[in-house]
This record gives sequence, C-alpha cells and structure tokens, in this order.
Amino acid sequence: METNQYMEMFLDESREHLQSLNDGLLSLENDPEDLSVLNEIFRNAHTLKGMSATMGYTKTAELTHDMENLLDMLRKEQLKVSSEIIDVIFKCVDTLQEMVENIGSGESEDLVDVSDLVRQVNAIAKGESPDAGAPATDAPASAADAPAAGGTAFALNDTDRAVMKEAKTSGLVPYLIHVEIAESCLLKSARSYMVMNALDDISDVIKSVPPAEDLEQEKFDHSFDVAIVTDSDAKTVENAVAAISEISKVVVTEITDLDSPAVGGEAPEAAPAPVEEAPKAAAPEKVDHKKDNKPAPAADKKDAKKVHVGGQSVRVDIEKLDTLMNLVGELVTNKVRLEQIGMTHRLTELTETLEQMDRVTTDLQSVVMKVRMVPVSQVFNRFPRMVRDLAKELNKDINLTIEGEETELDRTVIDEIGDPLMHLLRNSLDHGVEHPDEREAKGKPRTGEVGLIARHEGNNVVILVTDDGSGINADKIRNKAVEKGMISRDEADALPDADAVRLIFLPGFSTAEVITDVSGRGVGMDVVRSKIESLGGHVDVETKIDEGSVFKIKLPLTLAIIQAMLVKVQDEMYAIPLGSIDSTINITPDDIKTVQNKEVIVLRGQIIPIARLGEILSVPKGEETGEEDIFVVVVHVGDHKIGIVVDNLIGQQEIVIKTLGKLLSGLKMLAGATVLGDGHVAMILDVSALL
Amino acid sequence: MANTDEQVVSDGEVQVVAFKLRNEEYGFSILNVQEIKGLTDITRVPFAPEFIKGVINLRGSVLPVIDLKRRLGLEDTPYTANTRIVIVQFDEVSVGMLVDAVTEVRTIDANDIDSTRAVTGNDAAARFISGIGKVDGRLIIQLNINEIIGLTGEE
Repeated sequence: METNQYMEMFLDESREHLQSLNDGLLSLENDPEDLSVLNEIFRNAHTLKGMSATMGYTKTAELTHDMENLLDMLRKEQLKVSSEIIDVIFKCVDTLQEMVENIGSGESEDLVDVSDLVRQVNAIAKGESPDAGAPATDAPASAADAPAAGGTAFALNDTDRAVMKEAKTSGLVPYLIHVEIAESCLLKSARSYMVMNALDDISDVIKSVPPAEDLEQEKFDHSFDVAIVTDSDAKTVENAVAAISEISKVVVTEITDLDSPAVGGEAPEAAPAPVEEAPKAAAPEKVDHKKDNKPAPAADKKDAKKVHVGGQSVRVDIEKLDTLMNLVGELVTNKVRLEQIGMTHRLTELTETLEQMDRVTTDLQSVVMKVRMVPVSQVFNRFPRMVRDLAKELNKDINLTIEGEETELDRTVIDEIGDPLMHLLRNSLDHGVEHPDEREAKGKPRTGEVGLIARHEGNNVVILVTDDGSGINADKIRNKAVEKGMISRDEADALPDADAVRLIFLPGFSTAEVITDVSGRGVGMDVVRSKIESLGGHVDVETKIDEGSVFKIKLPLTLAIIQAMLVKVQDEMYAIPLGSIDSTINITPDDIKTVQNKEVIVLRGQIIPIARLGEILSVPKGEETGEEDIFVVVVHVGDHKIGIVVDNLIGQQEIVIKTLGKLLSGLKMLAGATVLGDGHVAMILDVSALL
Repeated sequence: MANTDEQVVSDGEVQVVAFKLRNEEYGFSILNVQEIKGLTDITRVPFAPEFIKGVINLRGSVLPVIDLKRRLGLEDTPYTANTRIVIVQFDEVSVGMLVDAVTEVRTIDANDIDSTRAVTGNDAAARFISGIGKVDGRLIIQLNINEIIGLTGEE
C-alpha cells in the first residue's frame, strides 16, 4: 500500500498531537487530579499510536503504546501522578517528537534509541522507580501488548448466552471469530464493514468487540472479535472472511462452554495466554485495561469529533497562497488601469461595471489576506513547556500567563517571531525573575509571574513579554556599555535611564555576569532587535527596579500590505510606512534653525533634526519652485524623531510591498518597492536607516 | 540551467535576439529572452549601482532595468521611438535590458562565431562578451548575461 501520499498528513497530525500532549502534560502537572486532562492526553497518545502503526512506524507505535499503558494506569488511579512520572512521559514525548522529525526528514525512526526509555516507562508501570528496573522487566508491556496481538477475553452477557444456547438447540453452531487487519490498511473501517457484511450473509452476528459502531468509526486497533451463530462450518466462515483483502488473520473457534461468562478467543498460534505469564503485579491491571480501555477512548473521541465538525479546514501550501496574493495584486493593478481608460474615454457603462468589480476585488483581497493570517497561539503554544523546563533547570518558581493567543498575524511573521520571543522569555526567566528566596526577602511572592500577551493596537499587533522580576539596573547597563567601549563615560552619564536601558539592544551587549546556558552569550538582544526590525516591527523595553520589565514588540499585521504616506520629491514618488509617521507639518523656510550646522525644527517645544529627502537620495534637481511652504513628515524610530523634508504630500494609501529582487537587495534606506494604481513604481523608504 | 552553452539550438546553430546599442549590433541567446517591451516609465532607485537604470512594473512585479550602454562603457544616447526593454531571465532572475532598438531574431552557424580573445581591445568590457557572430558581413556581439547581471563576482 502506497503510504507516501499520506506522509504529509501524518507528519502534520503527529506534530499536532505531540503539541497537545505537551500542553496536556503541563496542565496535568499543575492539576494532577484533573481526570479530563488525563483522558485527553490518553486520547492523543492513542491516536498517535494508531497513526504511526498505520504508517508502519513500529518503533514509534511501540513507544506510544508503552506510554499509553502508563497513562492508562494513571487514569485508573492505579498509579499516582508524580513529577517523576510526568518527567518520564515528557521524555517520551520529546523522543517521539525526535522520531517524527526524523521520519519527516526522510530518515529512519530507528535513529533514536528508545530502549532505555521503554525500560523506564515499564519500570514505572510495575511500580518501581524508573531507574531501578533492568531491561528484562518489560513483562507488563508485553502482557499489555497481548490483547492487541492475540486473543481477547470476550465477555458475553446473559442475553448473548441465552441467544446462543437457543440457536444451538436449533442446530446452529456458535463461533467466535478473531479478525486481524493488515497493519498497512488505511481504511480499517471499510474492511471491518466488509467482514461484518460477509458474516451477515452466512450467519447471525450476535455481538462484536468493539461494538459495530466503533468498528465503523475506526475505533479499534487492528483486530476485532465477532461472535456468531451459523449453520455453516468453521472453514466456510474462515474462508468467507479471509477472502476480503487486507485481512491478515482470521481465527474461528467454536464456543463450547456457553455457561462461563468469558469466552477465551485465543488464537492457536498466538502467544501463550498472557494472563498467566504476566507478573502478578501487572495481571489485575491487564484485565482492567481490556475492560475499560475500549469504551473510554470511544467516548472521548466523540468530543473530538464534535470539535472537528465545527472547523473544517484544508491544508494549503504557503507558496500557493503567495501566488494567489500576487495574482490578486495584479488584478487590482489592472482594474485601476481599466478605470483610467473608462475615465479618459467617458465610458459610463464600463465605469459602472468596474465599480462592481472594485467591490469584488476589495473583498477578494481581504479574504486572501485573512487566509494568510494564523493565530499567534501557533508560536505561543510551545512556550509553556519551555518555561517549565527552564524554570526547573534554574530552580525558580515561574507562572507563565498567556493572553490573546487568538490574535492573528501574517503567516510569514509567525514563522519568524518564534526565536526572538523565545529569547526574550529566556531572558526574563534567567535575568528577570529572581530565585524564590530572594523574592521572599524582597517581600514578593515566591512564584515569579511571566506574561506573554498579544493584542491589537491600531494597524499593529503588539506582543508583550512581561516579568515581575528584578528589573534592569540602568547604572549597570551604563557601566557595561562604557566598559565595552560602546559609549564614553560622559555619554553614558548623560543618557536618561530609559535610554540607557535600551543599550541592551546594541550589538555585542550582554549583561549576564556569568554566562549561562540559558542566555548571556552576547548575541542576544541585538539579534532580537534586528530580527524584529527585519519584519518591519519594533522592540522596546520598560523597566522598574524590583518591579519587573516589559518588552514590547510591535509588529505589522502583515508584511504584504501596509498603509503608507506617499510623498513627492521633485518628480519622484516615495512611500513612507504610516506606522513610523508621527505627524506631518507645514513650515516656512524661517522655521528651520541650525544647531552645530545641523538643520533642526522646533515642534511643540521639542527639537527635531531634519533631513532633506531630495539631498539624501540625491534626487536629480529640477527647477527651483520657489515655494514658500515646506512639508515635513515627522517620523519616529524608537524614541528618536526626525523630520523628513519633502516637496509635496500626495496622500495616504494602502500599498502592496514588493521586493526589489536579488539584484537590488540590501540597498540602504529602501524597504522595497510598490506598484501604484497608475502602474508606476514607487520606492518604500526604510525610515530607521535615516538615523 | 540556462547558460550560454544552450545557445546551440540544433547542430551547431544558435538563435539570437539581435539589437542595437549606438551603431553596433549585439545579441542575447533567444533562450534567455523572455519578452521585448516598449519603453515604459523607469523609476530611479537611489543607491543602486550606476549601471542600473531603475525599476519597471512588469504586470505587477518590480523588475530592475540595466542600462546596457552604461554597463558596456558605451556613450549614452537619448531615448528614441525604437528604444526597447529586453526582458531576460537567467538563473531565475529576471532583468530588463535597455537597448536602442531590437533588429531581428537571427540564426547563426556556430562556426561563424569567433571567440573574443582575438578582438578584446577594451579589457573592461571583454568579460561581458562571449563571442562574435558573423552574419552576412554584419557582426553580432554575443553577450554574457551572467556577467552583465553581475550577481557573481563584483559585489
């Protein structure tokens, strides 16, 4: 069976389940009593097992299976949730993640050694400490494995038995049929349906385990059992079932003892009765496992199904979306051209049709934009685990609060924002939040609060990384900067605290006195800053000694379309992103003063340096207009302001950002280009390069 | 991979798009030529290398345009009604080339193409030239697109 086409789906879904496992384990750790969480974890593990087995990744399936056993014991309270057990399960999840990634990169899942982990899991299952057990003690696992591989104790209730007895008196023979479906089978439900159909033709089906509806919904591993009464012989029944493709094994046994409550459905060549072989400690669990295991996930899966129906979705390659976006852009540009033709030739009919088309294209554009948006939870959801691990490592008590994870951002931004956020969080944990004892001494609660908050702010999305830790000491930063020769002592002393703290964003700055694993390699904050700025965003910090710090990241909603102010210098048109514009003002030449030969203006009492765009960009000089009015666009980069002198303000407009391509990459002052409505190309200014 | 070797279309024949720069005739392999466009507005790009005239809008994409005369060290001439932009593609990079006029698409026998070594008077421009084709007593100078775009070396 060709499974390659399902590979992408398998990888995607496995990753999702692993993520849910991570999330679930975290909440379980916080509230070990919460059975619903445990059930969900179990369900995830179970699905993962089924998927990997279907795809033929036996090792992955095995490890998941062992993990599932452990979870099952927790669920039935045969074991108590302890941090030790959670750690081991976390390890399992990590290992599984590694295996799935290996599979994804086309390598073998075998690259990861799971034997030690399997031993630990089984040791816990046996009630030992995870380190104690020797590899030989994996009996519980094999015992637990048995129901899947071999026979199943088939519970018949009184009614079932009565029916069978009656049938027997009328000359029919009761049989128990054990059916195994090939591991590679992708449509197990279809096969089981065919089996049931075939049996229906030649017999009366009394009962199946799992029940028929579960079979239809694929809520079984690879085998199921059916009890029938028939007038055909065992061989006929066996042949009828075996004729169906992808059925790997059929065992038909006559039920002779109709008085015993459980009927052994043991396959002759299957492993000898596992119940006897399993150590005593594991035996009772096994029975429970069988009775409770099946119905429980079935019930849980119903909830899962509901969620599924609510949000049907299609996975689409991001490249296709990019193409779609480009095509829409072209459509819009063409539409504008048509509009111009309509205007010039006064074609009312055309103009009217175009108005309709305008509405459609605008809708189309916004839909395409929305399709590209994904919630930040895609990035955020990996942090709880990271914070937990890191807090343990640092011996700190940390409570991470996440807010606004439903806030949406363009896919490209989401892909890039993970690393900077991770770095900021690590910093908050390592440098920000103090050790519990220290916190107590300061009169703060022992548990440190770290927050990750996303929200909309105008046309931007703001992400805050907050902590209630020690804050950043401006003097320390000043000293460090001077020591590193980044600024002079005088300059440092002249800096207000807020600015001094911002020095951490300069290249080569790291305040950690001891370099730790966590942060402090000196490649920290400047990398964060440059990454965010490359996304068209901005990062800033506010801090108060002993009260904590807030890192504020401001990001554009999308990288593809921005609001911009169009300005004119001589005959050239430039676009300035609206996000960085403070205000636009109208002055006369007399308003320009000089300070140390640099031109400045005074705006509401603030001295703002000005830059003449025409000179900076060496725009070819046209004729002097002799105009008295000078237009200044005041932009800000961080706390710095600068006035850009232009000849004319054209207006505000939504523009589609296009790259300048390989040949013109890395030009200073330019953030890209855009095609205006009339088909002309205008350059987009990178304001931060003006400083 | 599009490169100048692919100029050989069949049995030692090469098809070139021939065009004029001042009064000399040049050519690009037809395999690299995407389309030929009339002169449109070219937006100047500040801080761009001198030989880049600017960018144009080609059906919604922004495309750089190289001023071939400036690139080859030839003297500038004003635009005329014949001025064209030849869009070439090389290694997935599309670039417009500003030329004085496009003359024709010619098939040249590979035997009629001389290596440049014999005529490299101007050393600076020599690397841009891959060969010189002789057709009916005319000379068509074959250009090396890779060098002209200048993605390798230089930077």
